[in-house]
Amino acid sequence: MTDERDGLQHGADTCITCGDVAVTLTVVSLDGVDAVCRADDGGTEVIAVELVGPVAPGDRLLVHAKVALEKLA
Amino acid sequence: MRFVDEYRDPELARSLARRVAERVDPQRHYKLMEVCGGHTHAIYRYGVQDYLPESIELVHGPGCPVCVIPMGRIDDATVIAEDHPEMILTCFGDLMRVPGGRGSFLDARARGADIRVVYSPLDALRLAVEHPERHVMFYAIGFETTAPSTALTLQRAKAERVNNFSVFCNHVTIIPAIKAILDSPDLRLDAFIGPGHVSTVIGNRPYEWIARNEGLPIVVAGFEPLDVLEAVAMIVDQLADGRAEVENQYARVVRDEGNPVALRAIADTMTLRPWFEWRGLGSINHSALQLSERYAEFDAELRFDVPGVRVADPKACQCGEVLKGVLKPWECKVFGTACTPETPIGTCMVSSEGACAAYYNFGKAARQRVELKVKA
Repeated sequence: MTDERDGLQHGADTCITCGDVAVTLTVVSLDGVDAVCRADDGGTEVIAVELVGPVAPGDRLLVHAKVALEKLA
Repeated sequence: MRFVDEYRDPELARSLARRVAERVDPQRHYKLMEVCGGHTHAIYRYGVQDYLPESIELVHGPGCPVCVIPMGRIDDATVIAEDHPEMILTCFGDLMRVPGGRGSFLDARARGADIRVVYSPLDALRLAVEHPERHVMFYAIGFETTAPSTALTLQRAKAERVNNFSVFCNHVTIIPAIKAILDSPDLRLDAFIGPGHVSTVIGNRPYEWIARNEGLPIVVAGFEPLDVLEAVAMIVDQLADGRAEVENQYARVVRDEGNPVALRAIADTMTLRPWFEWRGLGSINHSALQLSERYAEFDAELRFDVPGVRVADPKACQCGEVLKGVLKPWECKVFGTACTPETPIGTCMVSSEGACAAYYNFGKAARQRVELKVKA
């Protein structure tokens, strides 16, 4: 849950606060009000999807700070 | 990789560069401000400037929220964390090295405060649920991209009645910052590259006054190198045609209306502050968010005594001028010498999206070229 690395940057050269690290993830399955999503590198994460409406497996989402901001066309 | 590879194609980049070169007026100097720190980072990481004619100057704006946080707000949270042994202060990792008057969060952690890095405010909320004997405070920071995650977390905290959780809110809004930049007498701009992910939330319409009242083009852009290059090409087209419009280069993500659900979540949980101090820009009216009355029980500034100390920036630091685009990072007196990413004096050197850090990490070649040009 928490990141105790003392590199303290989320990735070598990105800043989560600015929002440019919003990433595209693919919905794998639904988990209550959340969705399990997969990144292109194969990693998975539980993402809150209330702000983008109903989602289905295969949907591509723009995600920032574990919250989906937009469903991609 | 979809949505990535097609926006980093060198041949497409050269094609866009040719389009820009064909349309620029060789007698004219163009000053384009990229509002968002993410664009600054992309420009120097990928060498976008090298594809553009010398007459196009990219000016870095104030859109890095870590960079505009005043030192006093770091100190306020540090005091809360150190004065309450039950406290777990949580924040994004970027914030840990931001210097305050009493040192950084890293320094406070070394002194014994329990300060932890999280990826999401939802992680902070889960921490509160898992540790009912502790109080978890989330240091919320960011523009409208980040505010929805805080808003959603607050809604969940209220629904789940998590009463050992609070938010120290420092969310800021982009439009007042752009207005402050335009009011600055030191800077004359020709156009803006608009922030892509902020616009995912607020949409394109809030920028219409820039085109209508200021007569300046603004093109909302994504963060891949071809996104930025295409945005520059669209701006040059507008200027060559005598147009000033809001255009959306990032249409694969950004809708004109933004995300209304996210905007409603923000409106439910937060309200505009009368004023907020921005590092480098000073106090700007209605430029930041605080928790709404409905969520007062989660407002750290109401639950705890906040010193509200105002700390002057170090005299040697010229972050203010850099944030307004008046100075280039390397023109700061301490850039790369006393102030480096390892030992930052100013916040612009802390965040990787800060203009100084972007130059330091990726822009040395460009800086040398410009220095040579000046000498010639």
